[in-house]
Amino acid sequence: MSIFILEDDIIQAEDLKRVLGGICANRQIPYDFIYATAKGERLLDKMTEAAMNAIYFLDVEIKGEQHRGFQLAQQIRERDEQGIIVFITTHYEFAPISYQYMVSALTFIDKGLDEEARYKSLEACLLHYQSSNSKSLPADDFVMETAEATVRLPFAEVEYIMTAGPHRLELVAKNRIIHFYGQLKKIEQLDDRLIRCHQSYVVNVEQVQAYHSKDRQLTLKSGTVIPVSRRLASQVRAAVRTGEERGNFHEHF
Amino acid sequence: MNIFDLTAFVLIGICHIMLYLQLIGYARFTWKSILGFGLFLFVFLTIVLSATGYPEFNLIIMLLFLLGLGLLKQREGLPFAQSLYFALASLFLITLARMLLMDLLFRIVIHSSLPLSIGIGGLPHLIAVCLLLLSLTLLRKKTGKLGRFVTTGPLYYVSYVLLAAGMMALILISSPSVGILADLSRTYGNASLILAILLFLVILLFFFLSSHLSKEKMQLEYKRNTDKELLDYMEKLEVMHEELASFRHDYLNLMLSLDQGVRNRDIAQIEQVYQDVIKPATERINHAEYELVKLARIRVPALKSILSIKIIAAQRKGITVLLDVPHQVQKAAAPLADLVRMIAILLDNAVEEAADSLEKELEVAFFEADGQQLFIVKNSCHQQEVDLQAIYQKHYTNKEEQRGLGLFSLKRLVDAEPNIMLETAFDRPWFTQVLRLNRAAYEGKGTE
Repeated sequence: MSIFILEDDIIQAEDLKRVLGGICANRQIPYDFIYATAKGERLLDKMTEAAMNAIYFLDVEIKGEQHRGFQLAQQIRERDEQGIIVFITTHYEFAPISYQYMVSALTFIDKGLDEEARYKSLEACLLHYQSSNSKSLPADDFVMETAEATVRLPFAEVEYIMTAGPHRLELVAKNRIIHFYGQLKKIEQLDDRLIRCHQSYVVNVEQVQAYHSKDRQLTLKSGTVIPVSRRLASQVRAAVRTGEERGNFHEHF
Repeated sequence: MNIFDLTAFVLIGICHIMLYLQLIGYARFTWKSILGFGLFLFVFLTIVLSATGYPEFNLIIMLLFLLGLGLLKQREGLPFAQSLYFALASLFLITLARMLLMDLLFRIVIHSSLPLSIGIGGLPHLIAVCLLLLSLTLLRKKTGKLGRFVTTGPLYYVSYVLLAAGMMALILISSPSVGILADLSRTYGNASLILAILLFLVILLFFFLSSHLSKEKMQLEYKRNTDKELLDYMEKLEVMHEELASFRHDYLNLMLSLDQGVRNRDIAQIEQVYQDVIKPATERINHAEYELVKLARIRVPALKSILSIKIIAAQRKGITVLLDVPHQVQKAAAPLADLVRMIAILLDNAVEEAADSLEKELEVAFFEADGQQLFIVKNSCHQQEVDLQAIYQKHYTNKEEQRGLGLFSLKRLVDAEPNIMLETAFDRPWFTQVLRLNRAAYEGKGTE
C-alpha cells in the first residue's frame, strides 16, 4: 500500500503526512511509503515505483492553477484504475460534483475542517482503502452494459433487482436505487449469485438473511421482504441450502 | 371460403389492430404479438359468428377488442373518448378502404383481358388486404403523427359524429339479422352504402385537413414557447440588473462614509465600514452572480432558461447554490421538452427540500462523462430517513399534494426513454438524484 500527497504548501503537506502516518500507526494499517510533492509530474514518476491501487490525496488548486489537482486525477486514473482518489480543498467552490464523477473520486475533504473532524475524515478514507485492498481481488462489481444503459456498482451493495414496468428495471442497493432500461432475464445471467425468485424479482443471494418457506418469502439483511413464487420455490431453497453450507443464512420452517 | 379468403380475414384483423395502435401511439408490441392478436381475433370471430349467426357482432367484437388494447395506453393517460374515436376510425376506414379496393380490383379484372376466374376466387380480396397492409406499414410514421394531431384539431368533434354515423351505416351494410336492424337494412341498405362511401371520403379529407391545421398550430406554439423563454431570460437579466443597482446604491453610500473616515483619519470608522459593508457585499457578489455566469456554457436555450429560473428562485429562498458546468453542453441527449420537465421537477423538489433543511445547500451539475450526459441534483434535507422507493409512488406526499405527483411524473418520463437512467441516493443529510442520458443510444435513434 502506498500513499501519495499532492500539496504545494510545504507546511500543510508535512502536517498531512504526519496525520496520515499517525492514523496508520494507530489503526495498524501497513504501508510502503507516504510520498508528498508539489509537482504533479513527480507524483506520476513516483507511481512507477509503487504497486498498483494506491491512495491519492490531491489538493485541487495548485499555485494558481485551478484545475491542476483534477487534471492530475485524470492522469492517475489512466494508470491506476482501482486507486482511491481523495480531493483536498480550501473551499467547496473548488470542489465541483462533476470531478467526483469524472474520475470516480472517493470524496472531498475540506481544509477548513477543525482538527478532529479532519482526522475523522482522513481516517475514514484510509480504512476504506485498507478494506478495499485487503480483498486483493479484482474489483467485484455488478456491471450491466447494453446499448441503452450502463450500470456499475460494487456487487456487495446490490440487494435485488425488480421489474418496474415494460422493459424497465429497478435496482435496489444500500442507500440508493437505480431505474434503468433492461430485462430481468439478462440480469439473471450476469452472475451466479443473482437468482430469480419471482416472476419480477432477481435477488443477490449474498444479501439473503432467511427463507420462510411457509409464506414463501425471503428476508434480506436490510430487513426487506421479497416474494418467492411457487414455481421457483425449490430453486430458491436449493440456493439457500448452498448458502447455508457457507454459513450465510438460515432457513425457517 | 378458400385459402385466399382465410388469409385475407386474418390479415384484415391485423390491419385494424395496426392502424389502431399507430393512431393511439402504442409501439411496444412486436410483430409476433400483433400476428398473434390477429390470429386470435380471427378464430374468435369465426366461432362467435358461426355460433350466433349475427354478422353485426363482427364489428362490435372488433370494436371491443380494440378498446381492450386501448386500455394499455389508457394507463398512460389516453382518455377513453379518444380511444373510442381511434377504434371507430380504424374500423371504419379499413373496412371501407378494403371494400373500395376490392371493388376496384374486380372491375379491373372484368374490363381487362385477364381470365374471369381470377376475379372470383378470393384473390382480389387477398390482394386488396395486402395492399392495405403494405400502405399501413409504409405510412406508419404519418399515421402516428396524425393520431397525435387529429384530437387537438378543430374538426375532432365533427369527425367523431361522422365516424359514429359511418359505423351505423357499416352495420346496416353488413346485412344484420337482429329484427330492427334487419328491417332498416332492407329499407336503407343501398342508401347506407352510398352514405358510407361519402363519409369515407369526407373523413379522409377531414384527417388531411386537421393534420395540416395542427401542424400549423404546433409551429405557432413552438414560436410562442421560444418567445416565452426569451421573456424569462429577460426577466432574469432584469433581476440581475436590479441587484446590481441596489449594490451600486450601497456602494455609493459606503463610499461616502469611507470618505468621511479618510478625511478625519479615523481608522476605527474605516474598519467598521469595511467589516459591516464591504466584506458581506463582496461575498454576495462573488457568490450568487458567479454561479449564474456558468450557465453561459449551456448552449441549449431551453435548458439555460429553466436552470436560471430555478436557481434564482432557490437563491431567493436563502439557499446556497453551487452550479457545476465544467464544459460546454451543445445539445441535449433526450427529447428537449421532456428533459426540461424532468429538470424542472428535480429542481423544484430539491429547492423545496433544501429550504427546509439546516444546511440549505443545493448543488447542480450538468456535464458529460464516458458518453453519458449527467444531470445531478444534490440537496441537503432535514429528514433522517427517506424511503427511496416510496417517493416515486403516485400518492406519496411529504407535505403537499404536488410534490408526490412531481416525482411520480418524473419516473414516468424516465420510463418512456430507454436511454435514460435515474439514480437516487440518500446519505444523510444529502439527497442526490442523477439523470444519466446515454448519448449514443439517443443519437442512434434519432438518425434511424
